[in-house]
Amino acid sequence: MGFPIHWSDTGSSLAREPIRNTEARSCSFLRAMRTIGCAAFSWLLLSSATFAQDAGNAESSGVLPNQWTADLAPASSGASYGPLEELVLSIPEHVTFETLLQLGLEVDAIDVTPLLAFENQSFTYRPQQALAPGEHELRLIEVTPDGQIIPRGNWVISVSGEAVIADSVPEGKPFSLSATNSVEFSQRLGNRGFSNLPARGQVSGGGYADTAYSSGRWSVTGNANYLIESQEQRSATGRGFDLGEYNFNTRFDGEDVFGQVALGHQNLDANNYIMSNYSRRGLSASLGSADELISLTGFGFLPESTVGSENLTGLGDSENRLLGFQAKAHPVPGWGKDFSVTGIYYNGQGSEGGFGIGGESIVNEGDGWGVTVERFLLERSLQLTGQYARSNFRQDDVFVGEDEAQGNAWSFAAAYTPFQSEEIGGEYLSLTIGTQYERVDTFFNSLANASLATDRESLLLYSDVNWGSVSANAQALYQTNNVDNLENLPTERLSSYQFSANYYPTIDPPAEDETDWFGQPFLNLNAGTASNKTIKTPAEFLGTDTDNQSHSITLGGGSNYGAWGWQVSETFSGFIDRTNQSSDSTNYMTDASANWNIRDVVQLNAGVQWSRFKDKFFDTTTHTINLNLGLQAEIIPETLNSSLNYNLNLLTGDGDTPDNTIANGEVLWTVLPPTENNIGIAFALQGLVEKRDGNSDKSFDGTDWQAFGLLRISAPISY
Amino acid sequence: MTSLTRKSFATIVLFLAITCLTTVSHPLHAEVLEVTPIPGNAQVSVPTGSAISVTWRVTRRAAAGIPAVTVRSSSGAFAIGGTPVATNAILLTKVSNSGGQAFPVVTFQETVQVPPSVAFQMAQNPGLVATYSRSFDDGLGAEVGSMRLIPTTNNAGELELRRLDLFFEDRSRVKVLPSGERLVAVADINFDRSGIAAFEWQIADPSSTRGALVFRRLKVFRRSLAGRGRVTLQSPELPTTAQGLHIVRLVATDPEFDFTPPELKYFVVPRKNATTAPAGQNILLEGPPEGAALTTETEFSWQSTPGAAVYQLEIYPVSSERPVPPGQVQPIGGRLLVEPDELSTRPITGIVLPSDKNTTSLMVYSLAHLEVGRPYIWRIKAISGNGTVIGTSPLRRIVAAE
Repeated sequence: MGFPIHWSDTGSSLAREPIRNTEARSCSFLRAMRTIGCAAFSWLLLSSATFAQDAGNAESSGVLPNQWTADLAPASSGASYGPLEELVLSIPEHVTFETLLQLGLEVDAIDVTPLLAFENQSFTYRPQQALAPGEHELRLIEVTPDGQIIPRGNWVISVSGEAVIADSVPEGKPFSLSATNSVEFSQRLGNRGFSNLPARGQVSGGGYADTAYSSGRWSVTGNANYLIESQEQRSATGRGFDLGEYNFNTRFDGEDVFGQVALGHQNLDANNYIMSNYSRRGLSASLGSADELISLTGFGFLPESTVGSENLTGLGDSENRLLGFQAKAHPVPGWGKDFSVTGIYYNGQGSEGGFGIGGESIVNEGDGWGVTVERFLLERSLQLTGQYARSNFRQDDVFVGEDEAQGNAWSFAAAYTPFQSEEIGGEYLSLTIGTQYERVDTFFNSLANASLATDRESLLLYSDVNWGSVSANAQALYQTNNVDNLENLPTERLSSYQFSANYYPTIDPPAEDETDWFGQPFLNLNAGTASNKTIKTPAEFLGTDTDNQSHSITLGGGSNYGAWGWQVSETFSGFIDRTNQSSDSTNYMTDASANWNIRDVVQLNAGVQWSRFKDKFFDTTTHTINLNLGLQAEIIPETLNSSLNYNLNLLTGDGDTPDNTIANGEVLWTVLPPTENNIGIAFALQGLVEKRDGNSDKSFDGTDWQAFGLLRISAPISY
Repeated sequence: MTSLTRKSFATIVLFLAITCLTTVSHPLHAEVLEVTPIPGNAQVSVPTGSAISVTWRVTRRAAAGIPAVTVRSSSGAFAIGGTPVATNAILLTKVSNSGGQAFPVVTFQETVQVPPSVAFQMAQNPGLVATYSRSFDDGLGAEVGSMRLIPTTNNAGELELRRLDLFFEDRSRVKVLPSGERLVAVADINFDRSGIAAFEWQIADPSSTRGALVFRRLKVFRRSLAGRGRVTLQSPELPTTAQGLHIVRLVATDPEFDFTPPELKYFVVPRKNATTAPAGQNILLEGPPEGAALTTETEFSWQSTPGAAVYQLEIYPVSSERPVPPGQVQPIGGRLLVEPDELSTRPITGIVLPSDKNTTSLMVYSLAHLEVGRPYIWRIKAISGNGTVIGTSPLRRIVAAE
């Protein structure tokens, strides 16, 4: 009979101690023994004696004890492992007990040693989460007392089939609820100058709640937040008390299928021409195979972003909905997740704007569909992606001609990674090169991807390289517009070239009695240029041609050194319009910042941006200086805290505007700190001063201030 | 002809004569004579629409004895092929002093956003002439002026910022969070044409949101933009030390947005001294702090989650540079961002622990996956007995060290 080695703390400490010191290892060893228990301790002693004997036998037989490797037991099905199948590693019998304590096992670079069990001279790992179908890497490592890493086995296993849910029931309560609430009652103690002051007494607050419930194969999670605000114009929805955002998710994980229903704010994790960066309030339901090789999600969303309790489900208005579905499949069994097909369809009407969004809505009604195909080849070093989408939309307020339009979008991309962490020249090299061709029609518009840039046909070439301390990225983009060849309209080409590089040199730690002046430095460079030029002008075109160029270069660097760090960068930007339709201009921007953490009780930070902008057409120069200083101090630990912010904004030169200085701060006295299910009480004094200097125009001069006293009551709840 | 008729005729003749004389030498009635737009035509981006700038030059006839009149235009009108398609209901009004001139001139300047519906119809009907017109009236006489709108897909002219989508890093738009948590706002901006844009990240702290609202500038910066595209801008870390309501916004100062910049609100609550952490998707981290150096001595700690069977510490690379995703044109020389859902890829390294442990450090072989001096981000996941992720922590940065 074996025993489980719970190396989570004791065991893993044992394994890592050799790289620290042997004294600490001994302490950890004793702790381990207490944890494992007397029976196991006895077994260990016996086993270690046996190991020592076996090691001696091994030496005498001519096999060096430090040249062993472990054996991985084959999959129970013969070909591939199940997603939750135990992985068993057999250790040669001559391996000493001390060596066993120095072993670690990684699955896909995640250290799983704390979950290993040891039995019959074998380590057993049972995945807590089902391994995804496909290849996974196992690595058994020994860390010697002097810190060396010796590989004791490296395997790439193939996983396929359906996940079988573990029989074990999670420990602890199946239901949990946690909420944090805070309400502030404030009174303006005094003020001068400000004209837009609300009532002296104000109430403000907020809270959030999380809940989780699990039972067998079912799990439910939920979260929500809310705001209290007595000033109507300060509240998010115009109401004194209102919901912010929320999400409830119910999931069923069966042996063969999974199902999920989500209500509230959510994101379908879609990134295609039809839907991208789309997080909205609504309802979705998913059904798929347990191994997620195939899944179908139906959804209904409110097209515009929203917060608050109005239209709580997002589906309350039948004329303001986005309905559709998304299907994902890995249809070729032999290719597993190396081949996927995703389809999406929507039909909706409403606004594409909403809370947090500024600008006019383009599309108010329409439908669209798209298909994305992805294939990995050459041991996943080559990725091919193809995408096609079609949108139909109706434009409101059309009085002349058709009010409907259709557009297509499609792309093809290839990315090849010939080197992935290959050791070359003593450094690890990763290299990816790729290309992408895409075409988005002039009239392509999706209600679920409002920020997509349309009317372009482009070719992108890029490369990414990481080699030791250096990483770099280069890309070239060639893009033309008027892809629908609209009558009498010109066509332009945008040519863009970008390069960026970062350097994080490896700095040897200073010897004793030496001062490390530089800490851990870093350097970065970003440079780019883009030109826009008309390449085809119709004879009857009445407008002007385009011929302009933008360029920019940034050099930056800094260092982190213990409790403090700093960075500085200098950026030059330039713009030239050879048609004189707009002004040529240049800008130099200096950006510097630093922070200092003094024994975790005082934090200082400072930053300054200095911009010099020159408009060559009007021959004007504008200087902008923005200075920020911040201070947080814990005067009495967990009782008395203070903070202070200072902001100076100067705009000088041509177009001078009043200078502005703002200082604000707080002194917080925590009478009763909030703990679980116990209220917390705190008092605070807050204040703000704003000073304006109109320079030559004294009518702008003035100093305004306001000061507040407040009582804060907070109530964390947990069940 | 009767005597009465002759008298009436003489009176009319006399009246007309006097009227004519008076009109020639001292006009009685003011009157708008001519309205001229400068320039005479303007380019409009199709099919999305764009802003046009126009100066209306209004010439009127001065009236005797009335040194000043009010000249007004109640609205502007868009037309395509002579058919009205949209109205700009912005009133233009100005007092015009003749200054002794017989034909004084008054000018009006306006910048108008051509609605997408108008631009759409211009693109759909390129053979029809599109115009923007205004009628100016001085109370006694009115005249109309029209400028021609030329549809174009080109990028000549001044840089324009068309749309701003503002959200927090996790794509939420309202946050309530404990003090000290990392919080960053992200702005997606659509733009037309090229130039150097100036922006400011601004914040209103609780010391102003409970009284007169005052925004201070967190960061001032400029960015080169080219063509028609989209740029993603990330705020510096937002202040979460002071508890209470904060309002954050991105303001464009050159060129300015032609819409009111949206604002995001977040409320900072006290960090509780809890013995257990909230379940769900909010594991509270205790250490190490943001940006700490990562060695084998670095201790990761977090508050436990009810229902967790194991915890998984995950470390991810920070990919600051990467290819342009579909639909996004990279700013010139700018840095691309890590997408909020970047963590869908596998972690670069990490460790799994049973649920009775909520502290750990990483072994030397785990750190071997990392490059010394390079920044990474990490988080904790709580996993239930059936393999379901029942909680995640916020992200924190860490720097691999020797």
